[in-house]
Amino acid sequence: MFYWPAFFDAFPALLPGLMVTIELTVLVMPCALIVALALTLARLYAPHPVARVATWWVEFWRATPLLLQLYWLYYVMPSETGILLPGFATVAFGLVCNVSAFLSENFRAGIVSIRPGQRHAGLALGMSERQAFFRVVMPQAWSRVMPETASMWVELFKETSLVSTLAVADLTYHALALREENYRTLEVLTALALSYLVLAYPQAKFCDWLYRRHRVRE
Amino acid sequence: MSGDTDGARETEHDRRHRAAAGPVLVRIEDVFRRYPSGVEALRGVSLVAHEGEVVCIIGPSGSGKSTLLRCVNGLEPIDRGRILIGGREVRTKGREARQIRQQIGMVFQSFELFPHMTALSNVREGPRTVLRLPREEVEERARAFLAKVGLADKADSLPAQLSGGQQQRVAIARALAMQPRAMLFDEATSALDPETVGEVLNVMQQLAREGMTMLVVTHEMAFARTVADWVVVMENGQVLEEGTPRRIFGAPRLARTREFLQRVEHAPLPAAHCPEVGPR
Repeated sequence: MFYWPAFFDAFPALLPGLMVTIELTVLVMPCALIVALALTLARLYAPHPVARVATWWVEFWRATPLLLQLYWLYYVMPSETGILLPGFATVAFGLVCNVSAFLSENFRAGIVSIRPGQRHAGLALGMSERQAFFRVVMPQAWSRVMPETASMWVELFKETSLVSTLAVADLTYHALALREENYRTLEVLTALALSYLVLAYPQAKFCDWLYRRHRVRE
Repeated sequence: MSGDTDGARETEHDRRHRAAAGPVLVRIEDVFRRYPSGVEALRGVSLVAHEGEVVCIIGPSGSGKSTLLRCVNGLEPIDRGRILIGGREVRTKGREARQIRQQIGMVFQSFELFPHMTALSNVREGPRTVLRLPREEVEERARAFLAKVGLADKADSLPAQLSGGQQQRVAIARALAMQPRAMLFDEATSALDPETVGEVLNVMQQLAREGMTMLVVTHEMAFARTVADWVVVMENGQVLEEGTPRRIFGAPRLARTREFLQRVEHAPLPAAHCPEVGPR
Protein backbone atom coordinates (compact mmCIF):
# COMPACT_ATOMS: atom_id res chain seq x y z
CA MET A 1 0.00 0.00 0.00
CA PHE A 2 1.36 3.38 -1.01
CA TYR A 3 0.67 5.80 1.80
CA TRP A 4 0.40 9.20 0.04
CA PRO A 5 0.63 11.45 3.12
CA ALA A 6 4.00 9.94 4.01
CA PHE A 7 5.12 10.56 0.43
CA PHE A 8 4.10 14.25 0.45
CA ASP A 9 5.39 14.85 3.97
CA ALA A 10 8.79 13.57 2.93
CA PHE A 11 9.55 16.55 0.66
CA PRO A 12 9.75 19.27 3.35
CA ALA A 13 11.99 16.97 5.35
CA LEU A 14 14.29 16.50 2.37
CA LEU A 15 14.64 20.21 1.64
CA PRO A 16 17.69 20.97 3.83
CA GLY A 17 19.47 18.00 2.30
CA LEU A 18 18.65 19.27 -1.15
CA MET A 19 20.51 22.48 -0.41
CA VAL A 20 23.59 20.52 0.64
CA THR A 21 23.47 18.41 -2.52
CA ILE A 22 23.22 21.49 -4.70
CA GLU A 23 25.96 23.29 -2.79
CA LEU A 24 28.25 20.32 -3.16
CA THR A 25 27.64 20.06 -6.91
CA VAL A 26 27.99 23.77 -7.55
CA LEU A 27 31.16 23.99 -5.50
CA VAL A 28 32.86 20.84 -6.78
CA MET A 29 32.28 21.25 -10.50
CA PRO A 30 34.10 24.58 -11.11
CA CYS A 31 36.99 23.49 -8.89
CA ALA A 32 37.19 20.18 -10.73
CA LEU A 33 37.22 21.97 -14.09
CA ILE A 34 40.19 24.10 -13.09
CA VAL A 35 42.09 21.18 -11.58
CA ALA A 36 41.31 19.06 -14.63
CA LEU A 37 42.66 21.72 -17.00
CA ALA A 38 45.85 22.00 -14.95
CA LEU A 39 46.26 18.22 -14.91
CA THR A 40 45.66 18.01 -18.65
CA LEU A 41 48.23 20.68 -19.44
CA ALA A 42 50.70 18.98 -17.12
CA ARG A 43 50.14 15.62 -18.80
CA LEU A 44 50.48 16.96 -22.32
CA TYR A 45 53.01 19.75 -22.10
CA ALA A 46 54.97 19.58 -18.82
CA PRO A 47 58.47 18.09 -18.61
CA HIS A 48 58.47 14.33 -18.54
CA PRO A 49 58.62 13.61 -14.75
CA VAL A 50 55.81 16.08 -14.04
CA ALA A 51 53.67 14.66 -16.83
CA ARG A 52 54.29 11.19 -15.47
CA VAL A 53 53.20 12.13 -11.96
CA ALA A 54 50.08 13.84 -13.28
CA THR A 55 49.20 10.77 -15.32
CA TRP A 56 49.61 8.45 -12.34
CA TRP A 57 47.53 10.78 -10.20
CA VAL A 58 44.72 10.71 -12.77
CA GLU A 59 44.93 6.95 -13.18
CA PHE A 60 44.76 6.44 -9.42
CA TRP A 61 41.54 8.40 -9.03
CA ARG A 62 40.02 6.86 -12.14
CA ALA A 63 40.83 3.29 -11.22
CA THR A 64 39.60 3.15 -7.63
CA PRO A 65 35.96 3.33 -6.49
CA LEU A 66 34.67 6.73 -5.44
CA LEU A 67 33.10 5.27 -2.29
CA LEU A 68 36.45 3.84 -1.22
CA GLN A 69 38.17 7.16 -1.93
CA LEU A 70 35.68 9.04 0.22
CA TYR A 71 35.98 6.51 3.05
CA TRP A 72 39.74 6.70 2.92
CA LEU A 73 39.73 10.49 3.08
CA TYR A 74 37.14 10.49 5.84
CA TYR A 75 38.48 7.75 8.11
CA VAL A 76 42.10 7.06 7.20
CA MET A 77 43.46 10.51 6.36
CA PRO A 78 42.71 12.08 9.78
CA SER A 79 44.17 9.21 11.77
CA GLU A 80 47.21 8.62 9.56
CA THR A 81 48.15 12.16 8.53
CA GLY A 82 46.59 14.21 11.30
CA ILE A 83 44.75 16.35 8.75
CA LEU A 84 41.27 16.76 10.11
CA LEU A 85 38.83 18.56 7.86
CA PRO A 86 35.12 19.06 8.40
CA GLY A 87 33.05 16.32 6.77
CA PHE A 88 31.74 18.58 4.02
CA ALA A 89 35.24 19.76 3.06
CA THR A 90 36.56 16.20 3.06
CA VAL A 91 33.95 14.87 0.68
CA ALA A 92 34.17 17.99 -1.49
CA PHE A 93 37.91 17.43 -1.77
CA GLY A 94 37.40 13.78 -2.65
CA LEU A 95 34.82 14.61 -5.28
CA VAL A 96 37.06 17.27 -6.84
CA CYS A 97 39.91 14.76 -7.10
CA ASN A 98 37.69 12.09 -8.59
CA VAL A 99 35.75 14.25 -11.02
CA SER A 100 38.82 16.19 -12.16
CA ALA A 101 40.56 12.92 -13.01
CA PHE A 102 37.72 11.88 -15.31
CA LEU A 103 37.41 15.37 -16.78
CA SER A 104 41.14 15.49 -17.40
CA GLU A 105 41.04 12.26 -19.35
CA ASN A 106 38.18 13.70 -21.36
CA PHE A 107 40.05 16.96 -22.01
CA ARG A 108 43.20 15.12 -22.99
CA ALA A 109 41.34 13.05 -25.53
CA GLY A 110 39.69 16.20 -26.88
CA ILE A 111 42.99 18.04 -27.31
CA VAL A 112 44.73 15.06 -28.87
CA SER A 113 41.87 14.72 -31.34
CA ILE A 114 42.63 18.12 -32.87
CA ARG A 115 44.82 17.61 -35.94
CA PRO A 116 48.45 18.67 -35.40
CA GLY A 117 48.11 20.69 -38.59
CA GLN A 118 45.92 23.16 -36.72
CA ARG A 119 48.68 23.93 -34.26
CA HIS A 120 51.15 24.16 -37.13
CA ALA A 121 48.86 26.61 -38.93
CA GLY A 122 48.90 28.81 -35.84
CA LEU A 123 52.66 28.56 -35.46
CA ALA A 124 53.15 29.25 -39.17
CA LEU A 125 51.36 32.57 -38.69
CA GLY A 126 53.97 33.42 -36.07
CA MET A 127 51.95 32.54 -32.99
CA SER A 128 53.68 31.36 -29.83
CA GLU A 129 52.91 27.86 -28.59
CA ARG A 130 50.71 29.43 -25.95
CA GLN A 131 48.73 31.46 -28.48
CA ALA A 132 48.36 28.46 -30.77
CA PHE A 133 46.98 26.48 -27.84
CA PHE A 134 44.56 29.04 -26.45
CA ARG A 135 43.41 30.60 -29.76
CA VAL A 136 43.40 27.56 -32.02
CA VAL A 137 43.50 24.19 -30.26
CA MET A 138 41.59 24.78 -27.06
CA PRO A 139 38.43 26.37 -28.51
CA GLN A 140 38.03 23.41 -30.86
CA ALA A 141 38.82 20.83 -28.20
CA TRP A 142 36.34 22.53 -25.88
CA SER A 143 33.57 22.16 -28.44
CA ARG A 144 34.29 18.48 -28.61
CA VAL A 145 34.47 17.81 -24.89
CA MET A 146 31.68 20.17 -23.86
CA PRO A 147 28.81 17.64 -24.14
CA GLU A 148 30.72 14.98 -22.20
CA THR A 149 31.70 17.56 -19.58
CA ALA A 150 28.08 18.59 -19.17
CA SER A 151 26.96 15.01 -18.72
CA MET A 152 29.63 14.55 -16.05
CA TRP A 153 28.00 17.41 -14.24
CA VAL A 154 24.75 15.44 -14.09
CA GLU A 155 26.71 12.37 -13.08
CA LEU A 156 28.34 14.30 -10.26
CA PHE A 157 25.00 15.63 -9.11
CA LYS A 158 23.77 12.06 -8.61
CA GLU A 159 27.04 10.67 -7.24
CA THR A 160 27.01 13.16 -4.39
CA SER A 161 24.49 10.76 -2.82
CA LEU A 162 27.47 8.66 -1.71
CA VAL A 163 28.45 11.31 0.82
CA SER A 164 25.36 10.46 2.85
CA THR A 165 27.27 7.43 4.13
CA LEU A 166 29.80 9.80 5.72
CA ALA A 167 27.39 11.80 7.84
CA VAL A 168 27.22 14.65 5.37
CA ALA A 169 23.59 15.70 5.48
CA ASP A 170 22.73 15.74 1.79
CA LEU A 171 19.47 14.80 0.11
CA THR A 172 20.00 11.05 0.47
CA TYR A 173 21.15 11.36 4.09
CA HIS A 174 17.94 13.12 5.04
CA ALA A 175 15.83 10.55 3.21
CA LEU A 176 17.55 7.63 4.92
CA ALA A 177 17.20 9.34 8.28
CA LEU A 178 13.52 9.94 7.68
CA ARG A 179 13.03 6.32 6.74
CA GLU A 180 14.58 5.21 10.02
CA GLU A 181 12.08 7.41 11.81
CA ASN A 182 8.85 6.42 10.10
CA TYR A 183 9.69 3.12 8.39
CA ARG A 184 7.94 4.34 5.23
CA THR A 185 10.66 3.01 3.00
CA LEU A 186 8.61 2.90 -0.19
CA GLU A 187 7.21 6.41 0.12
CA VAL A 188 10.39 8.07 1.31
CA LEU A 189 12.65 6.49 -1.29
CA THR A 190 10.14 7.25 -4.04
CA ALA A 191 10.11 10.86 -2.92
CA LEU A 192 13.91 10.82 -2.97
CA ALA A 193 14.01 9.35 -6.47
CA LEU A 194 11.53 11.93 -7.70
CA SER A 195 13.64 14.73 -6.19
CA TYR A 196 16.77 13.60 -8.05
CA LEU A 197 14.79 13.03 -11.23
CA VAL A 198 13.12 16.42 -11.23
CA LEU A 199 16.47 18.12 -10.74
CA ALA A 200 18.60 15.97 -13.02
CA TYR A 201 16.21 15.70 -15.96
CA PRO A 202 16.40 19.38 -16.98
CA GLN A 203 20.17 19.20 -16.63
CA ALA A 204 20.30 16.18 -18.89
CA LYS A 205 18.07 17.94 -21.43
CA PHE A 206 20.35 20.97 -21.22
CA CYS A 207 23.27 18.66 -22.04
CA ASP A 208 21.46 17.36 -25.10
CA TRP A 209 20.88 20.91 -26.22
CA LEU A 210 24.53 21.80 -25.69
CA TYR A 211 25.51 18.72 -27.62
CA ARG A 212 23.40 19.75 -30.60
CA ARG A 213 24.73 23.31 -30.47
CA HIS A 214 28.36 22.34 -30.16
CA ARG A 215 28.47 19.60 -32.71
CA VAL A 216 31.80 20.11 -34.41
CA ARG A 217 31.42 21.48 -37.88
CA GLU A 218 34.23 20.48 -40.14
CA MET B 1 73.48 8.37 -56.70
CA SER B 2 76.91 9.91 -57.32
CA GLY B 3 76.91 9.29 -61.04
CA ASP B 4 73.98 11.71 -61.42
CA THR B 5 75.58 14.77 -59.90
CA ASP B 6 77.42 15.74 -63.01
CA GLY B 7 74.15 15.57 -64.93
CA ALA B 8 72.61 18.05 -62.52
CA ARG B 9 75.03 20.77 -63.55
CA GLU B 10 73.39 23.90 -64.83
CA THR B 11 73.42 24.63 -68.50
CA GLU B 12 74.52 27.93 -69.90
CA HIS B 13 70.87 28.87 -70.35
CA ASP B 14 70.10 28.17 -66.68
CA ARG B 15 73.12 30.06 -65.49
CA ARG B 16 72.27 33.17 -67.46
CA HIS B 17 68.74 33.05 -66.19
CA ARG B 18 69.80 32.79 -62.57
CA ALA B 19 72.37 35.57 -62.88
CA ALA B 20 69.61 37.97 -63.88
CA ALA B 21 67.58 37.22 -60.72
CA GLY B 22 67.46 39.49 -57.66
CA PRO B 23 69.21 39.04 -54.31
CA VAL B 24 68.88 35.70 -52.54
CA LEU B 25 66.01 35.57 -50.05
CA VAL B 26 65.91 31.89 -49.09
CA ARG B 27 69.12 29.92 -48.95
CA ILE B 28 69.09 26.22 -48.11
CA GLU B 29 72.53 24.73 -47.57
CA ASP B 30 73.21 21.02 -47.42
CA VAL B 31 70.21 20.21 -45.23
CA PHE B 32 69.73 16.77 -43.70
CA ARG B 33 66.65 15.61 -41.87
CA ARG B 34 66.11 12.18 -40.40
CA TYR B 35 62.79 11.42 -38.74
CA PRO B 36 62.72 9.75 -35.32
CA SER B 37 61.35 6.71 -37.16
CA GLY B 38 64.67 6.46 -38.98
CA VAL B 39 63.42 7.63 -42.35
CA GLU B 40 65.90 9.97 -44.01
CA ALA B 41 63.62 12.60 -45.47
CA LEU B 42 66.34 15.03 -46.60
CA ARG B 43 69.85 14.01 -47.55
CA GLY B 44 71.89 17.07 -48.33
CA VAL B 45 69.53 19.46 -50.07
CA SER B 46 70.76 22.84 -51.25
CA LEU B 47 68.82 25.43 -53.16
CA VAL B 48 68.20 29.16 -53.28
CA ALA B 49 65.22 31.34 -54.01
CA HIS B 50 65.88 34.89 -55.14
CA GLU B 51 63.62 37.76 -54.25
CA GLY B 52 60.53 37.81 -56.42
CA GLU B 53 61.18 34.37 -57.82
CA VAL B 54 58.75 31.46 -58.05
CA VAL B 55 60.59 28.21 -57.32
CA CYS B 56 58.56 25.08 -57.95
CA ILE B 57 59.67 21.89 -56.26
CA ILE B 58 58.45 18.77 -58.00
CA GLY B 59 59.14 15.08 -57.58
CA PRO B 60 57.50 11.82 -56.58
CA SER B 61 55.62 11.43 -53.30
CA GLY B 62 57.91 10.82 -50.38
CA SER B 63 60.82 12.61 -52.00
CA GLY B 64 61.09 15.10 -49.13
CA LYS B 65 59.49 18.13 -50.80
CA SER B 66 57.00 18.85 -48.03
CA THR B 67 59.54 18.18 -45.31
CA LEU B 68 61.88 20.68 -46.94
CA LEU B 69 59.15 23.31 -46.98
CA ARG B 70 58.36 22.74 -43.32
CA CYS B 71 62.03 23.12 -42.47
CA VAL B 72 62.10 26.51 -44.21
CA ASN B 73 59.80 28.09 -41.64
CA GLY B 74 61.09 26.03 -38.75
CA LEU B 75 58.07 23.78 -38.25
CA GLU B 76 60.44 20.86 -38.66
CA PRO B 77 63.95 20.76 -37.21
CA ILE B 78 66.99 19.95 -39.35
CA ASP B 79 69.83 17.70 -38.30
CA ARG B 80 72.59 19.22 -40.41
CA GLY B 81 73.15 22.15 -42.73
CA ARG B 82 71.42 25.48 -42.43
CA ILE B 83 68.59 27.52 -43.82
CA LEU B 84 68.88 31.29 -44.12
CA ILE B 85 66.07 33.71 -44.79
CA GLY B 86 67.27 37.20 -45.63
CA GLY B 87 70.58 36.18 -44.07
CA ARG B 88 69.05 35.07 -40.77
CA GLU B 89 69.22 31.47 -39.74
CA VAL B 90 65.89 29.69 -39.25
CA ARG B 91 65.14 28.39 -35.77
CA THR B 92 62.44 26.00 -34.61
CA LYS B 93 61.75 27.51 -31.20
CA GLY B 94 61.55 30.82 -29.41
CA ARG B 95 61.19 34.45 -30.44
CA GLU B 96 63.53 34.19 -33.41
CA ALA B 97 61.52 31.31 -34.82
CA ARG B 98 58.35 33.36 -34.47
CA GLN B 99 59.91 36.41 -36.12
CA ILE B 100 60.95 34.35 -39.12
CA ARG B 101 57.54 32.72 -39.40
CA GLN B 102 55.85 36.11 -39.36
CA GLN B 103 57.75 36.89 -42.55
CA ILE B 104 56.98 33.61 -44.27
CA GLY B 105 53.42 32.71 -45.17
CA MET B 106 52.48 29.07 -45.42
CA VAL B 107 49.63 27.37 -47.23
CA PHE B 108 48.90 23.75 -46.39
CA GLN B 109 47.58 20.90 -48.48
CA SER B 110 44.64 20.42 -46.09
CA PHE B 111 43.99 24.20 -45.77
CA GLU B 112 44.08 24.13 -41.95
CA LEU B 113 41.67 27.00 -41.64
CA PHE B 114 40.53 27.48 -38.07
CA PRO B 115 37.08 25.83 -38.24
CA HIS B 116 35.69 27.71 -35.26
CA MET B 117 36.22 31.09 -36.90
CA THR B 118 34.57 32.77 -39.87
CA ALA B 119 36.56 33.37 -43.04
CA LEU B 120 37.16 36.97 -42.00
CA SER B 121 38.26 35.99 -38.48
CA ASN B 122 40.70 33.52 -39.95
CA VAL B 123 42.29 36.32 -41.97
CA ARG B 124 42.20 38.67 -38.98
CA GLU B 125 43.96 36.20 -36.71
CA GLY B 126 47.54 36.96 -37.76
CA PRO B 127 47.39 40.75 -37.73
CA ARG B 128 45.40 40.67 -34.51
CA THR B 129 47.01 38.00 -32.34
CA VAL B 130 50.53 38.04 -33.71
CA LEU B 131 51.10 41.59 -34.96
CA ARG B 132 48.69 43.16 -32.44
CA LEU B 133 47.67 45.89 -34.86
CA PRO B 134 44.95 48.37 -33.92
CA ARG B 135 41.45 47.04 -34.44
CA GLU B 136 40.54 49.20 -37.46
CA GLU B 137 43.75 48.31 -39.23
CA VAL B 138 43.19 44.61 -38.62
CA GLU B 139 39.67 44.90 -39.99
CA GLU B 140 40.75 46.86 -43.04
CA ARG B 141 43.61 44.53 -43.83
CA ALA B 142 41.55 41.37 -43.39
CA ARG B 143 38.80 42.64 -45.69
CA ALA B 144 41.31 43.80 -48.27
CA PHE B 145 43.02 40.41 -48.48
CA LEU B 146 39.76 38.51 -48.52
CA ALA B 147 38.71 40.73 -51.43
CA LYS B 148 42.04 40.08 -53.11
CA VAL B 149 41.32 36.36 -53.29
CA GLY B 150 37.80 37.15 -54.51
CA LEU B 151 35.91 36.19 -51.37
CA ALA B 152 34.75 39.50 -49.94
CA ASP B 153 31.19 38.18 -49.95
CA LYS B 154 32.13 35.13 -47.87
CA ALA B 155 33.51 37.09 -44.94
CA ASP B 156 30.99 35.72 -42.46
CA SER B 157 30.97 32.13 -43.69
CA LEU B 158 32.48 29.37 -41.62
CA PRO B 159 35.09 27.22 -43.34
CA ALA B 160 32.66 24.29 -43.36
CA GLN B 161 30.29 26.34 -45.50
CA LEU B 162 32.91 26.96 -48.18
CA SER B 163 34.10 24.77 -51.03
CA GLY B 164 37.62 23.39 -50.93
CA GLY B 165 38.84 25.98 -53.41
CA GLN B 166 37.27 28.79 -51.42
CA GLN B 167 38.79 27.48 -48.19
CA GLN B 168 42.21 27.39 -49.75
CA ARG B 169 41.81 30.95 -51.03
CA VAL B 170 40.88 32.06 -47.51
CA ALA B 171 43.98 30.25 -46.26
CA ILE B 172 46.07 32.17 -48.79
CA ALA B 173 44.46 35.43 -47.66
CA ARG B 174 45.19 34.50 -44.05
CA ALA B 175 48.86 34.05 -44.86
CA LEU B 176 49.02 37.20 -46.98
CA ALA B 177 47.48 39.30 -44.22
CA MET B 178 50.80 39.02 -42.40
CA GLN B 179 52.35 40.74 -45.43
CA PRO B 180 55.09 38.15 -45.64
CA ARG B 181 58.32 38.43 -47.62
CA ALA B 182 57.83 34.95 -49.07
CA MET B 183 55.10 32.34 -49.36
CA LEU B 184 55.38 28.57 -49.05
CA PHE B 185 52.78 26.43 -50.81
CA ASP B 186 52.71 22.81 -49.70
CA GLU B 187 50.73 20.96 -52.38
CA ALA B 188 48.09 23.64 -52.11
CA THR B 189 45.82 22.10 -54.74
CA SER B 190 46.32 18.38 -54.08
CA ALA B 191 43.28 18.04 -51.82
CA LEU B 192 40.94 19.96 -54.11
CA ASP B 193 38.20 18.85 -56.45
CA PRO B 194 39.43 19.20 -60.03
CA GLU B 195 36.94 21.97 -60.77
CA THR B 196 38.22 24.20 -57.98
CA VAL B 197 41.94 23.73 -58.64
CA GLY B 198 41.90 26.50 -61.24
CA GLU B 199 40.65 29.24 -58.94
CA VAL B 200 43.45 28.57 -56.46
CA LEU B 201 46.11 28.39 -59.16
CA ASN B 202 44.82 31.70 -60.53
CA VAL B 203 45.32 33.37 -57.17
CA MET B 204 48.82 31.90 -56.96
CA GLN B 205 49.64 33.05 -60.47
CA GLN B 206 48.35 36.53 -59.65
CA LEU B 207 50.66 36.60 -56.61
CA ALA B 208 53.60 35.50 -58.73
CA ARG B 209 52.90 38.30 -61.17
CA GLU B 210 52.94 40.82 -58.34
CA GLY B 211 56.47 39.71 -57.53
CA MET B 212 55.90 37.58 -54.43
CA THR B 213 58.74 35.19 -53.65
CA MET B 214 57.21 31.72 -53.67
CA LEU B 215 58.37 28.22 -52.88
CA VAL B 216 55.77 25.94 -54.38
CA VAL B 217 55.66 22.19 -53.84
CA THR B 218 53.27 20.98 -56.48
CA HIS B 219 52.08 18.19 -58.72
CA GLU B 220 50.60 20.71 -61.15
CA MET B 221 53.11 20.44 -63.94
CA ALA B 222 51.29 22.99 -66.08
CA PHE B 223 51.65 25.50 -63.28
CA ALA B 224 55.33 24.72 -62.81
CA ARG B 225 55.93 25.05 -66.52
CA THR B 226 54.14 28.34 -67.03
CA VAL B 227 54.56 30.20 -63.74
CA ALA B 228 57.84 29.00 -62.22
CA ASP B 229 61.08 30.88 -62.73
CA TRP B 230 63.01 27.91 -61.47
CA VAL B 231 62.13 24.25 -61.13
CA VAL B 232 63.74 21.85 -58.67
CA VAL B 233 63.25 18.11 -59.10
CA MET B 234 63.62 16.09 -55.92
CA GLU B 235 63.83 12.37 -55.34
CA ASN B 236 64.73 10.35 -52.25
CA GLY B 237 65.55 13.40 -50.18
CA GLN B 238 67.94 14.87 -52.73
CA VAL B 239 67.81 17.36 -55.56
CA LEU B 240 67.92 15.41 -58.81
CA GLU B 241 68.30 18.43 -61.02
CA GLU B 242 67.19 22.02 -61.25
CA GLY B 243 66.82 24.60 -63.95
CA THR B 244 64.45 26.87 -65.75
CA PRO B 245 61.10 25.27 -66.54
CA ARG B 246 61.96 25.42 -70.22
CA ARG B 247 65.09 23.44 -69.65
CA ILE B 248 63.68 20.95 -67.10
CA PHE B 249 60.55 20.19 -69.09
CA GLY B 250 62.17 20.67 -72.48
CA ALA B 251 65.48 18.91 -71.99
CA PRO B 252 65.62 17.00 -68.73
CA ARG B 253 69.15 15.79 -68.39
CA LEU B 254 68.60 12.72 -66.28
CA ALA B 255 66.73 9.61 -67.22
CA ARG B 256 65.08 9.62 -63.80
CA THR B 257 63.72 13.13 -64.32
CA ARG B 258 62.37 12.11 -67.70
CA GLU B 259 60.71 9.07 -66.20
CA PHE B 260 59.14 11.13 -63.47
CA LEU B 261 57.85 13.73 -65.89
CA GLN B 262 56.37 11.11 -68.14
CA ARG B 263 54.65 9.47 -65.20
CA VAL B 264 52.98 12.66 -64.02
CA GLU B 265 52.07 14.09 -67.39
CA HIS B 266 49.30 11.71 -68.28
CA ALA B 267 49.60 12.47 -71.95
CA PRO B 268 52.92 12.91 -73.73
CA LEU B 269 54.18 16.49 -73.45
CA PRO B 270 53.00 18.83 -76.22
CA ALA B 271 55.67 19.08 -78.86
CA ALA B 272 55.78 22.87 -78.71
CA HIS B 273 56.92 22.81 -75.09
CA CYS B 274 59.06 19.81 -75.21
CA PRO B 275 60.66 18.98 -78.50
CA GLU B 276 63.31 16.69 -77.07
CA VAL B 277 61.07 14.34 -75.11
CA GLY B 278 59.07 12.01 -77.24
CA PRO B 279 56.64 9.38 -76.04
CA ARG B 280 58.32 6.27 -74.79
